[in-house]
Amino acid sequence: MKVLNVFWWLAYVCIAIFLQLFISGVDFFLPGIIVALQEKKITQFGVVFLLFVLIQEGIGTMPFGNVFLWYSLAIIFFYSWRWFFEIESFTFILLLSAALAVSHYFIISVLAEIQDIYINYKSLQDESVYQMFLTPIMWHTANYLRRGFRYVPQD
Amino acid sequence: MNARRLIVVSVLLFLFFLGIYTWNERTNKLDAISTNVGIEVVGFFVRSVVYVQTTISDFWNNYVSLVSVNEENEELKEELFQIKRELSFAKEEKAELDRLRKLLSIEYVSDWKTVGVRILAWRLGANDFFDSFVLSKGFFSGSKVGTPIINADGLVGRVLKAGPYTSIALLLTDSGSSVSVITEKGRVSGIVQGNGHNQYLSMRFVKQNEEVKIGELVITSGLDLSFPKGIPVGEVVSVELSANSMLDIKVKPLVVFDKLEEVLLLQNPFEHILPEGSPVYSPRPNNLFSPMQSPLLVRAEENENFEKAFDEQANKSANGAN
Repeated sequence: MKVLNVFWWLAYVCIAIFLQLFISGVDFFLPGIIVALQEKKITQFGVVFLLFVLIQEGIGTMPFGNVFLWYSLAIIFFYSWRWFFEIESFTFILLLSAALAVSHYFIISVLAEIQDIYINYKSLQDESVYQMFLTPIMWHTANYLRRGFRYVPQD
Repeated sequence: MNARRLIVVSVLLFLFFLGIYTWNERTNKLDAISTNVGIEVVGFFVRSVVYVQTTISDFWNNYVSLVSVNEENEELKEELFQIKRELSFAKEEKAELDRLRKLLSIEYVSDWKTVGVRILAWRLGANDFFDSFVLSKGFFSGSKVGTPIINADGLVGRVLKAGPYTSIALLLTDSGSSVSVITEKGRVSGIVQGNGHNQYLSMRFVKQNEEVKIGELVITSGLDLSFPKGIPVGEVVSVELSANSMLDIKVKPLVVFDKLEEVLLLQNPFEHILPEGSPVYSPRPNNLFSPMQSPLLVRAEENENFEKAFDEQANKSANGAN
């Protein structure tokens, strides 16, 4: 089962990279972070978090930090809002992705200012909007496949 | 997790972030680790996708879609004949140039080695804000940070980040890209800077009394030690007088960036003895986008006020003398 789990996450990484090839500016690893958070397995979440941060920071052009901060905000939002919503509900994911899209805009704006990097705010704004709408779709698909995966009977 | 614990975890996470951020600013170690891991994971996957894609398209092009090949072949033969003729003239001119250089004892570095590289992907992910693309070679194949990138038309950019087998390039059109250039005929020097994707480049720091003509070719000057001299960069499309006594020159890049598939890396033969060239990403001053705030303008206004005061004083003295 553990091996299958590893393969599931590797397949997720491949699909996320593949989607990022075609839709630039959108983070398809974020829904995976949310899925890992929902499963409440600390080791699995730690490995997934570390791997996703290293991949996204590695292929990014800004200095290390913004993806780590953004995913950390995802953890904080997730744990603070789960008192008010059912964590597997679509409303919760919609609100979470909207909050994360807005925070993405602010994190990048602030860090770009600190690092003296010129960025195109219009495209950042557009990409944050795409992120807001694409995160729930990707999460829904991943969550669905993950559920099916969970119920595979063990030999 | 209760509310108190959540606040403690949030504060700890933020402090941890500040710690690793400042540590990385000083040492760049996390950048190096993430570059080696992230680029290579993505590079491996994208390389596999490109391999499958190329195999399928090659099969289609070589065996299925052979319509109009004969016609194209004739055109290419004609083109080859013309190029051969031009090459023979160029060889003669090159021999003459070498003789003259020898005669005048001019040292000329022409030994930059070229390495062909495939473009694997364009901007990837939500953490890439530059005009960039992913290259299929890393530092094991000579793609180091700062390595110039060209194609048959001219300058493309420089390597921004390099992993072992994959690297990321910064395009000439990015706002953080700057190159020391010279005009081909007028020999007017300046700095060419990018203005973003699909925008003309700006040639800056050219005095207003310099002669720059529309249509003139702009080439690298080699003065920044980052690029060899003479790589075509672009063509001048407009020359206007700006507010700060400088010329506002727009340059159209010769390279069509959207159609790039393969490029060449230029490896400096004297890298080990030359001082470091300019940084790959050059932060632009904020006032560049709001010209009224420019210190040059402030200086110009101060000079203007000084000149006015000087003229008034001179007039008064002249009137007093009369």
